[in-house]
Amino acid sequence: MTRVRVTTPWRAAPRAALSSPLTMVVAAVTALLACFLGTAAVLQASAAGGATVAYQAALGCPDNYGPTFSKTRADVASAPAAIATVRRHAAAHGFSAPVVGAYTPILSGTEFDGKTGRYKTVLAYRGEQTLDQLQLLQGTRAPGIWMGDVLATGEHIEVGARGSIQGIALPPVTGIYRELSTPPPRWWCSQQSTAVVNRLVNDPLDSVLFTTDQQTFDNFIAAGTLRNYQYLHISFYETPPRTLSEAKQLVERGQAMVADVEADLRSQGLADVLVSQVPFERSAEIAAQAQSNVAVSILPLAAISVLVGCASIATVALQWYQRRFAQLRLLSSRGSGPGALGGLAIAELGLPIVAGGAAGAVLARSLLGVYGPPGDADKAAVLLSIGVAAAILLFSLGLIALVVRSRAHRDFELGRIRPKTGALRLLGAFPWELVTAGLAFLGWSRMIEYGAASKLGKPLPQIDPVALTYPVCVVLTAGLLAARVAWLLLYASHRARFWSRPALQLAIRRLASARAPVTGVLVISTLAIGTLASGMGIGNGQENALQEKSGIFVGANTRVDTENGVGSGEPPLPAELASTSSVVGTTTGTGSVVMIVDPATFTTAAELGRLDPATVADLLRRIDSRTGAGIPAIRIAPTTNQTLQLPGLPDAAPIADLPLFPMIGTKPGYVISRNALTPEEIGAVPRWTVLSSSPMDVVSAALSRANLLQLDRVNRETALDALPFYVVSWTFSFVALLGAVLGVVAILALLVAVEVRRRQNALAGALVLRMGMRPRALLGSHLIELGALAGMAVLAGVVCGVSVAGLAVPRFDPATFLAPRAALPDPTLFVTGVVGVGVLVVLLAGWIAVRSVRTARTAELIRA
Amino acid sequence: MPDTAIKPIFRLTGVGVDYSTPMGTVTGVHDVTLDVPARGITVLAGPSGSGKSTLLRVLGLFERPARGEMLFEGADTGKLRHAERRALRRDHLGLVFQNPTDNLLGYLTVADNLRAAAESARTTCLPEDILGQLGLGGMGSWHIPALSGGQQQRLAFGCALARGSTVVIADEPTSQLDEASADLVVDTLSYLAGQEFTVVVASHDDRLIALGTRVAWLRKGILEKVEDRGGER
Repeated sequence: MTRVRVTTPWRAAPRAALSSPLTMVVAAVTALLACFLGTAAVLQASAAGGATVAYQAALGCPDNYGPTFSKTRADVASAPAAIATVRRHAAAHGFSAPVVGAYTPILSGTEFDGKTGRYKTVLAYRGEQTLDQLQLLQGTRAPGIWMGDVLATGEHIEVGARGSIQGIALPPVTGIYRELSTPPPRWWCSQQSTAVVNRLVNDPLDSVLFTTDQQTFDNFIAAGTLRNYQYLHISFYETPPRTLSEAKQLVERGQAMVADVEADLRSQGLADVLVSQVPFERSAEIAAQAQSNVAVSILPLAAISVLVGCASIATVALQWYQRRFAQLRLLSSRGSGPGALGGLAIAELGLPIVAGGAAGAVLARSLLGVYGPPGDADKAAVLLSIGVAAAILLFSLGLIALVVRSRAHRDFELGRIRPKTGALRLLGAFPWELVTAGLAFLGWSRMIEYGAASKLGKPLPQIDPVALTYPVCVVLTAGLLAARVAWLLLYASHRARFWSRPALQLAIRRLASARAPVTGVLVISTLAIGTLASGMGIGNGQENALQEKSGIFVGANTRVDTENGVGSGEPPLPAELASTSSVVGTTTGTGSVVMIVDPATFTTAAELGRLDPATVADLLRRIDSRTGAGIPAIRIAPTTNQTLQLPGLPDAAPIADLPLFPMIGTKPGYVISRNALTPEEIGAVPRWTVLSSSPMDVVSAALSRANLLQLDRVNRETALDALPFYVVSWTFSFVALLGAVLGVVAILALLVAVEVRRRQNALAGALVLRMGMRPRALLGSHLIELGALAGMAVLAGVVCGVSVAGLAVPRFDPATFLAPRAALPDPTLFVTGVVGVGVLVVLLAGWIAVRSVRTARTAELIRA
Repeated sequence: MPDTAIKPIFRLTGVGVDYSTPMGTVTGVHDVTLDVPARGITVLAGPSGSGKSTLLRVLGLFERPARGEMLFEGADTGKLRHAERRALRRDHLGLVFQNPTDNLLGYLTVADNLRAAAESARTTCLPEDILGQLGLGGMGSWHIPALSGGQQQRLAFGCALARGSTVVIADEPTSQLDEASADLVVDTLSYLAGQEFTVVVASHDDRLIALGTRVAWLRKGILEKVEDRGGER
């Protein structure tokens, strides 16, 4: 076995690296960015799964993460054995103590203190936490029953009252609690249909009497002849899962427990006592699909970004090789082989690369909350991301060794006998832009059908990764085309004769003399700006679409259908809602949706989406009173066969058209003012709704306190399934991240290229200054050179990125059946920002270039 | 026809080197046939562009000729594998380039440069002894930038001594130096030749040409004549 001898130059290499700090910094930053992107791709996908899990967990009931066992009309006699079975297996599968909810059927014949009422009650118990989850108004937690305040107040039942149901003695009333209303506190979510008295829709029930403890409940059941519970429900309040693996693990444990419980119950002859399920199973499936969708979608982008990183690493290796050429030739002359020289490169650059890569991985992990979906990444994903970063680092180090080895082999072993470069030339001449354009076309053809998938009632659109690569392929095509054009223009630039404008001519010659780096910077800049524009445009477009669609669909932040009297103003809206809410009526029957609004309050309460509030307010003022024949109306989404007829009202007299309107959406309709209607006409409107900019719980509580009927409630947060929007948004947030990183690479590459050319710039600059060129003209020449490069990149990137985003945003709309169609956000701010950054970079690079002329030492110039 | 009067260490027969340029292939060295004797100083002389440095690259095993063959101690170097050619460089050749700083590792001290050179040939050396031989005594702890160009170039020859090379190949070793420094290099070359090294120098410096025991005159890549000046010195 040959022993590797580490001789002095290799041992001293890390110290030698300090002689060129710029190379070290560039190497470190390049590795940082490559590892950042590789790590971020893994974490982004996992965080998408985590965010979906969190979203699903927030939507679901808090006791639905684990298994649930329930049964309507459950057999009282079998229940204890069944509950004990569940309790036993729960401990075996690592679940917390089950929470048992038991509700009797509606019991009539309830009397307290000898006063027989006509009210009906349910006796219930919901575990030890029941009392903690109710708001006690009077009384104590002493053993007995807690009664809802509505019944207690209405029937004048006091704490301490003793009662009976159908002759069976009840324990004393020890507490009066605030009756649960819809929506109840989250803890009661799964018990909403049994623990809440929905008296506003004529619930036959008057009150749920909760026993303060299990024993009290069991004693009552034992004393009576009750054969069935109305509802028996056993569940577990588990900590909500935060990652996909936690969700999967929870579901798997739940499934295992369900299997064991069912088997056990069967063996006891109690197979039909409980119906078991794992409600979060579907949520975990959806989260897995979301994670997979994002992962598959960003995979090509991640590959591209890592390739760009590797290309940058290879460039760093080449730059190091050129800088160290004399030393490498000396070592080669002393017998060192190309492999050993590659090892020397690693010895010098390894430390900054490893440090940079580690920093990149740490940054990607710590900044995940900034750039990624609002969810946690799996531990496995974190480990995988570390593995990816390590793999990128190893590959980078290997690449550096390989680049240096191959150059050293060519220069010091092959001499002028070079391998055939025909294949390389063919690779360079091959029209790669046609390939990417073909892929873009394929993506476009798939993207056309993208939105259709969401109409099938699936929780997520069936993501086609080829469709999602469309924007990137277009940007790649634009970048390659720009490079091709720039390459050809620079190739032919010797024909340009602008010596009458020396600054321009010098700028052209400088560009032409650095054709390869100029083209490289141009490609990366175009890609950066294009991906940033398309990523931000599409991602923000979907977020905006979700906001607008939910806003237009609901009509406001909160929508609650209420009783007709509210429409007439009697009873009025509760005072606390007056400044944030508006009452609107709707009626149909003539092919148009007719909406009756209050112009005074509508614009403050409603969500207008992309409609201009001032325009809407002005139109509402114009329809505020009836001045001639017909009712002045705003016509919504007019169609050719839309009549002027309004149901039960005079014909509409349209004063203006709007493409869409809150609640109506893009259905044909009319908006009229309540002030233009008579009290009789208002009284005939069948449906009245409260629109409010306040949150649902505020509106619901206020309406409850005012005893106003709440027939249907919708709010923006839950009106639409947001996941299809989020998945697209999360995918393209990675595109935007890639663009931002590429932008940093492009800026650094430009500045480093200028700094690397410092001596050439200094020599050439000093010469032209001695030939009579003014320093200002020299600066102008550099600004022309750098400005042309930056301008071309900005132009190609912005035009391509914004255009492709504009085309893609409506196509990615996962809910095309809801208005308004997703649209590109206003790109003015983005374009201004890009141009601003471009100008700053050009000025900085120009200053660096000219500074080198002014600070160049004579000896340095002579040596150059 | 190869010269057989002196025992050659290098024997070049019909060696030609071509360059690839955008305009096509250009011949840099035309069918050179030359023996480099194992003793004395062989000078490749000629104006710029005559092919001296290219021929030196061939001798230094950096270049593989397009045509002809080159024997080193009787072995056909064209048939050697890369590793074998590297072994030849490591064990026998000491190359000195035109620019003094290109011959040294700038981040090491003078003594460490000698040690590193010896290490590269898998041997050891006594730096102070070598420095004393070269008139650089007491400078072992100096850093390279502290040396003058002439001193650096002499140290480069010292590295060849440290490595125990049998052949020293120098490419225009005085071209970057002032008069006094160049004199020191000439003295060093004389010293090396006296120590039974084979010295091959490419130069158009008259002092070096005068120093040569065999002078091969090149012009436009063609070996015009070979002058022998009295055998070993």
